[in-house]
Amino acid sequence: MAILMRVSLMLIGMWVAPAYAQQLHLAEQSIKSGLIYNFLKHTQWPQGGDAITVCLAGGNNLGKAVLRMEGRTVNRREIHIRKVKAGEEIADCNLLYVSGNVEWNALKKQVAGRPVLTVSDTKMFVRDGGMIALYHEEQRIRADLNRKTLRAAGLDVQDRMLQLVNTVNGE
Amino acid sequence: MGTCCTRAISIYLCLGSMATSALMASAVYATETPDPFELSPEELFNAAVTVTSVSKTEETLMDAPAAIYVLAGDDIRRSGATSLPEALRLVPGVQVARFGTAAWVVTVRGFASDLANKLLVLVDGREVYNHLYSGVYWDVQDTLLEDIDRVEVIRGPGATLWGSNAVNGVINIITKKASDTQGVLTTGLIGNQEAISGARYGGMTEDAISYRVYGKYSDRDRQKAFSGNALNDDMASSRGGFRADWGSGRDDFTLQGDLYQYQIGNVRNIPILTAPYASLIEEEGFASGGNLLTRWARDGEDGSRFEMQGYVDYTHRDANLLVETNTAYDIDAQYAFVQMGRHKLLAGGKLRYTVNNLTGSSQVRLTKEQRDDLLMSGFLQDKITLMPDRWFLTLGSKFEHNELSGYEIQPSARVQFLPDNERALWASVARAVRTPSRIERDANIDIGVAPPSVDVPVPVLVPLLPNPDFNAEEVIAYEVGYRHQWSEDVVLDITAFFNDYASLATSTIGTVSIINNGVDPVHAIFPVSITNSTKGTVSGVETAIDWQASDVLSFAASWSVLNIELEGPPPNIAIDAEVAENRSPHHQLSFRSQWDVTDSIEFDAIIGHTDQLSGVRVPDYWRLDLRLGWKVVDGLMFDLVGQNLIDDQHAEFATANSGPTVEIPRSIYGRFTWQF
Repeated sequence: MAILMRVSLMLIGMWVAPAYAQQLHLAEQSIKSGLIYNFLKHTQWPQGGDAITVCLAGGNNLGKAVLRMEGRTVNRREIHIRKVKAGEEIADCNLLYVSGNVEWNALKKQVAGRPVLTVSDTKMFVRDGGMIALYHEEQRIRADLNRKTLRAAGLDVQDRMLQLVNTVNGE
Repeated sequence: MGTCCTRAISIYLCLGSMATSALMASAVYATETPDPFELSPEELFNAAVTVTSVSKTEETLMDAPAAIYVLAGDDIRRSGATSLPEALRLVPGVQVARFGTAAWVVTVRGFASDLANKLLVLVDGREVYNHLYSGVYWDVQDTLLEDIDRVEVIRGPGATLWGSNAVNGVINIITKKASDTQGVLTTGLIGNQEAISGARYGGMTEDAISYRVYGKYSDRDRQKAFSGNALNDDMASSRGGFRADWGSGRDDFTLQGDLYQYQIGNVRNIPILTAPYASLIEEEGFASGGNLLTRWARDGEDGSRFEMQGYVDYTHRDANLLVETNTAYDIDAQYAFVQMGRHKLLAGGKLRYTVNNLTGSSQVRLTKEQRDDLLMSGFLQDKITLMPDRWFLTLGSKFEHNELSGYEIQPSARVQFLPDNERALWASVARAVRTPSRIERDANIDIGVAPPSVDVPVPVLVPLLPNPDFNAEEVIAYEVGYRHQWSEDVVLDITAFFNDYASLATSTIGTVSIINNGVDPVHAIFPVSITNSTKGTVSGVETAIDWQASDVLSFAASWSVLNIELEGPPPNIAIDAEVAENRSPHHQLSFRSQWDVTDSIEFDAIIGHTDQLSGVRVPDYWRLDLRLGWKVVDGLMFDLVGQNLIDDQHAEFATANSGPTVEIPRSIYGRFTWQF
């Protein structure tokens, strides 16, 4: 058995690619929060300002991971995070993250036509008036993006991000 | 240290030097969990998401202190497997053998049998391990394979978290969330062995409840024996089910259920006291069942998590030999505490009430027709950080009470060492038990009649007598494992184990008597009962390597070696040990490739070799499965699959009481899958 093991280790050694990049492992919440930060960074809003506001609706299934964004700066704008409920004033929200989909039906009407980048974690979201869906598939986080609703809201997401997501043109 | 392992001459040397030098150098290598806001979008999209099975809380696959393998739903699709057990052939170290149309042996680390009883199997948290004979009715475990998110397979004991019968491993079959199966999917498969059709619809209500419903019909053809005679073991099944998910993100709820009905042809030998001493009969068996499960999970903002789940599971099997009806009511709760200093605690409890009814036949007599069993259990586990990001110690134990074997304590200790982000070393010791089954405790079965011989000039009837004193089987398992992520594209996983078993089930021969009652022909009775009189060891090494060669080509190879040494009473007293040693292969080898030839063509291949099983007289065999997939348009896929392409037919397993050994033939099928 020892000899067989040596042979197999030698074979394995031959297969190994010289490249030595490390595989990252992160909790789902951290990856999604990191991606939200990157969408903030790579999106242009028609309105400027010193602050950029991330609103969280429907509980917060990203936990502490997303709250750690508070106070960081992106494109020289300071990130503020606040929780919102359907019906509340959301005029200052640049990005709206909806946990699950309970409150989306009510919020959908409120954000319609406004320059608010909407993000959720269900695949259905992009077919239900939302812009970006971040979901877990085969050990990775993937993103679907609806260009039509994005354009209608007057938002511009840079090509670097668009190349990494699946774009959907549906309703 | 990287070169040490890639050019290793000896694994022992390599692991030894790594451990020592890493111990000395650990301070130098200190790293922190990367800050997600410092990472590029490319890095984030490439980052692997953590898995759940080993510690019941999320963990990265790399860090899990156990021999775990995750089979992704897409790998099942690309393998061409048309049933759950078949899909498990892809998992390194799992022995899967087919010995009938819907008859499967699935086991890890030895003890293969049609009653393989040391592997616990769960579907979405619902135990499908059966306590009548201690095993899994693989013929009725199914769902729409397209709805499977992943299958997590842990080799080695998992009893501390999962409870009794997770002796040699745990299989968790996890289906997709309803929100990930939206829209319509239809699939149809037709081939020389089977025809399967299925459909699913997923939608969302106004109240944001996502749901899906599915239906599936399978018709599998009868198999042939070596002689070419077709055996009456064809199978027709229909099943359907649903799943609904909703929640605010803080609280998530799931409700799901399935209903199924099977008609399974069966062949078996009925023992008779006159020549030819057995008559092979063909009969129809029926199985039906249903389950309903609900789950609630709450994520605390401080990082704690509470989960509660309850289900009812009803199964009914009607074969002429035995009719069984089983209803299980199960409630589980689990709480993952927030990190407290060095400690991360996880606690849980379970209540399970089962009502099991049996009706015997002329061949099976029961000392107790109904048994109600209440199982109570609790567990506590603490993951202690010995040195941040480097050394971890996980201690825990299950405390369980069941009405057949009483109190069972199943502790485990696992130590993990992470020298850097690319390597992980772990070692563990754990105890687990396999609790007695009703067959062993309550059944009196006429197993067979041996023809007259020189030694005994009359026919010999062998009945299996119930043994009310039969107790749990136990194992103390020692494991060491090593994972190495050489690059983003290559992962190596090696596990070595040594299992020390005691009180293993043994067919022990009782007092022989001669029956001359004037009614039956004169015959001898050699009664057998199951006793706890075998001990022994099973050791082995399991190796798996995954290589993503390019964006369009990936390979996976695995090799496992097994050495079983059992020590039972001499053959004139008991008859199990020698046979059990040779019912699992000493070597198993598998090599798999997945190639996206163009944007619309996929070509996949699996080659595997299984060593001979001398205990059941099955020679070694090679398998070759090929799949060609053609994406006609987005959403419409055609597959052409050939399985067992190397030889016309081969046997994979044999049992004494189910008639002639079945030979698994070549199978070819075409399949379409349409999603919109």
